[in-house]
Amino acid sequence: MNTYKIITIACVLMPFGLAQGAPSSNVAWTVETHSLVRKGDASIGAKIETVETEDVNACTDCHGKGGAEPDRDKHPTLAGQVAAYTFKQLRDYKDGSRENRRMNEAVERLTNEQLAALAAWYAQQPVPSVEVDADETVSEETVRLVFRGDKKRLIQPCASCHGRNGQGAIIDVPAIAGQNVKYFVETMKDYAGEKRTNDIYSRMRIIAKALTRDEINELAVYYARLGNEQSDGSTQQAAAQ
Amino acid sequence: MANFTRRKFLQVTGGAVAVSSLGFPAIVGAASKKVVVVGGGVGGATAAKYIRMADSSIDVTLIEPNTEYYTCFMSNEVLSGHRTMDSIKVTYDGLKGHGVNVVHDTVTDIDAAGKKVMTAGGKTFAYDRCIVAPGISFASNIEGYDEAAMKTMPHAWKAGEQTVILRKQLEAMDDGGVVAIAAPPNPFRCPPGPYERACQIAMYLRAKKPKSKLIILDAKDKFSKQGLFMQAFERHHAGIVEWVSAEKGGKVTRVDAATNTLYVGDTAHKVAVANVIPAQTAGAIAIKAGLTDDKGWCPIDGRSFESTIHKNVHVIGDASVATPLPKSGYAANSEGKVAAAAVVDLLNGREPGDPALVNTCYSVVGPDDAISVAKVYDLKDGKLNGVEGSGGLTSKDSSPEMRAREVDYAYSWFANIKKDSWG
Amino acid sequence: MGCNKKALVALIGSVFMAGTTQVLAGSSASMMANTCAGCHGTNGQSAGPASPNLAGMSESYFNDSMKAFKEGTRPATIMDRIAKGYSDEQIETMAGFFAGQPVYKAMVPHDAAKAKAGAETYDKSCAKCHDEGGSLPGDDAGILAGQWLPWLQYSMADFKAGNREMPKKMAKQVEKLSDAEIDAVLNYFASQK
Repeated sequence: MNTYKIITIACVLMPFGLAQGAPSSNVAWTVETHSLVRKGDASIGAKIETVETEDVNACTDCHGKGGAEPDRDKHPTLAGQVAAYTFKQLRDYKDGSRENRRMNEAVERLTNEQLAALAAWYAQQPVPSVEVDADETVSEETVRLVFRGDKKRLIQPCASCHGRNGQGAIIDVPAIAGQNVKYFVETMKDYAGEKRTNDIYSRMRIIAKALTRDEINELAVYYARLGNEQSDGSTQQAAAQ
Repeated sequence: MANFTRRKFLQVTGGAVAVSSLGFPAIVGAASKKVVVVGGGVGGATAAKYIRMADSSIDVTLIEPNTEYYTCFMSNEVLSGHRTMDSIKVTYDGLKGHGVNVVHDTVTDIDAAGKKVMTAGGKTFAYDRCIVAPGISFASNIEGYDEAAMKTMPHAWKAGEQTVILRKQLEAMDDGGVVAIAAPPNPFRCPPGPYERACQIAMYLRAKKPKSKLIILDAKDKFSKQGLFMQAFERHHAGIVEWVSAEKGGKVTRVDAATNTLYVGDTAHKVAVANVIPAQTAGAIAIKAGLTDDKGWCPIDGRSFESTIHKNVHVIGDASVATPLPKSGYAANSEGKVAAAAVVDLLNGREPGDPALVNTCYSVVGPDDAISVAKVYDLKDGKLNGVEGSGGLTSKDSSPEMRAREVDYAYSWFANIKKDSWG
Repeated sequence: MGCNKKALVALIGSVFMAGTTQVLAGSSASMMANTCAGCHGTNGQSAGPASPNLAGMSESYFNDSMKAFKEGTRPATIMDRIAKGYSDEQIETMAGFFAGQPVYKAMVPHDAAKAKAGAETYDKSCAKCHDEGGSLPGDDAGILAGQWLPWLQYSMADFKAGNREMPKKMAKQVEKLSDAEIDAVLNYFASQK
């Protein structure tokens, strides 16, 4: 157990300590950055998302209108996402802190203001419902991870950062309720495999590494359903009113 | 180990550090290890190449009598005239390019205790590990079928001269003649082979000699891909191909080469062309070297393909008992890689890792119609094991479009396995 | 000395790696990937005439393809039966191996005139996702440059017949193209060297 912990910690620290790697992200949440995101103009974002150039697809080509209809389930749903989170990801794509060739190219020529506008636009959209296989089950142990975490494995409860309803938090914590199952799983695997490294203090990488594959799959299903329940609920409420 | 002095230890570890820090595959203070591969068929060639690819410090010698090798796979298409002998010919230039020392000679004995291989040419090759890939030899289950009879009633079960004889006989045959294929008892090389051959020859007969017939006299009551072959016999070769099971009088017990007659007990089948495929055992050198069990095949350890009879000798391909893998070309290629990895590990002082194997096998059964069988294999409880849920046959209901694609993939299989093994 | 420090890090790294390998049971990446070579060529460089090259294929594309074969959501002749022999972890291990190989563009027989005509269609309709002649392993676009023509044609036939799902943006483009334009653009991809 102790040896395992030491190895885990050593593996996590190595890229930063010994190899003196680049910081995980260059976005600092200064007052100016917050202000920039807060002032993001959603109406401009709405226009930007449909713009395509000679070499770059429009946002809508892959993520659908308002980021609500990804053309593949491995592309994320962006609708209803926390603006600060979206903004940071776009910035990370822009300077290469987060790697994806197509996204790196897509944001290359956008200014910080334009990125903030896109983030604001997506944040305004209602969370769409996502497809979840009805046969998928989520065990009690996995639900416990959400609310209690697992002290033995140093896993914090998901809800402690992402909120009881998976809604995210104003400062850069993404909403995960209503995310595509496949994107959720792929993201966690990318964190675990150090393919995505733009999480500050490698918080998600540590957690993703500690989780088993089955737990990740079940968490993805749990949060997809949670999003669906919420969007159903809001529809019902709207109907009642 | 007693001779393993402190100085040598320092040299070896020094060498290892040099590798890690400089990235040069330089070995300091170690004589190069020697591997001798006996047989240059698909298994032997693959093993030789993959050892060199994994560790170029290992000295690999491959001993094979023929300077040109004809693949058994696709040789049935030579019989039907769909392809030439040239198209199934491979040379050893590719292996030489990988630094394999290719020696054209015949291995006459393997001294497992002395770790050396002797040849008809009078040479002796010392080895640290030997890989034996001798293919098959023929057993005498059919009275009267001897070396001389093979010239007039070819088996064509080792491609080359035999394939040419059979093709020439088919070409010379009058329209309206009967071709007989005597199919062997299990286990034998290429289980679907006799039936694919029937389909291929039938295609030739329908095009050129439509009044002719082909009869398969089988020593068995069932065979590989049977349902799919029966479908093909009906779909493409109705009125030409007939299959006779052992039970229904198909088991050939005697031949008379002078009159081209096959006997099932007292029943005589006098035919125009007789293709007699006898029962089989491991290649002769495996028997000579004492690598075979009482059934005539070579028992091996599934992790490394090392003989369970003689240490430091690995047996791959048709000669080995690799059940549940079939005796197929693809299996031999796959086994060659497992043996190569194991030999490289063992010569570098490591335990061999878990093996992974695959078999895929295509049969072209009619115009634009090919079928396949596949399976993935691993090691379970120390034994080779077919992975549950994997593999199986082409569906009987697969569409003509998919069957036509399988022909293209069969040819891709052929092009790639040739290049992967000898290229 | 900086160099030595790097070497030290590499050495420590490799010690950790070795430790990790020991913990993970099962066959190595090359052990599994080598079983593909009999049909897809040594290191995934196919000798054709139809089996696709796997060398340089992105992990994402390889994983998606194998999982789709396994689940039966992508049409197959034999790959469905083979994919069922591997766990998702094993598939991902093989994906890593092939992604680590240099992209291989085979000398593919093709119609030069069609390829020339196809270049224009490519620029107009395909280039955004299948960058640089289809030679860059994008996130899920596969490698089309130097792929064997029959495989390109089978793939497109499956897409058009609705047997394999196209990404929405691809469907939008394909819809606009005539059969002749598609034929030409496939020849264009095959012609890329």
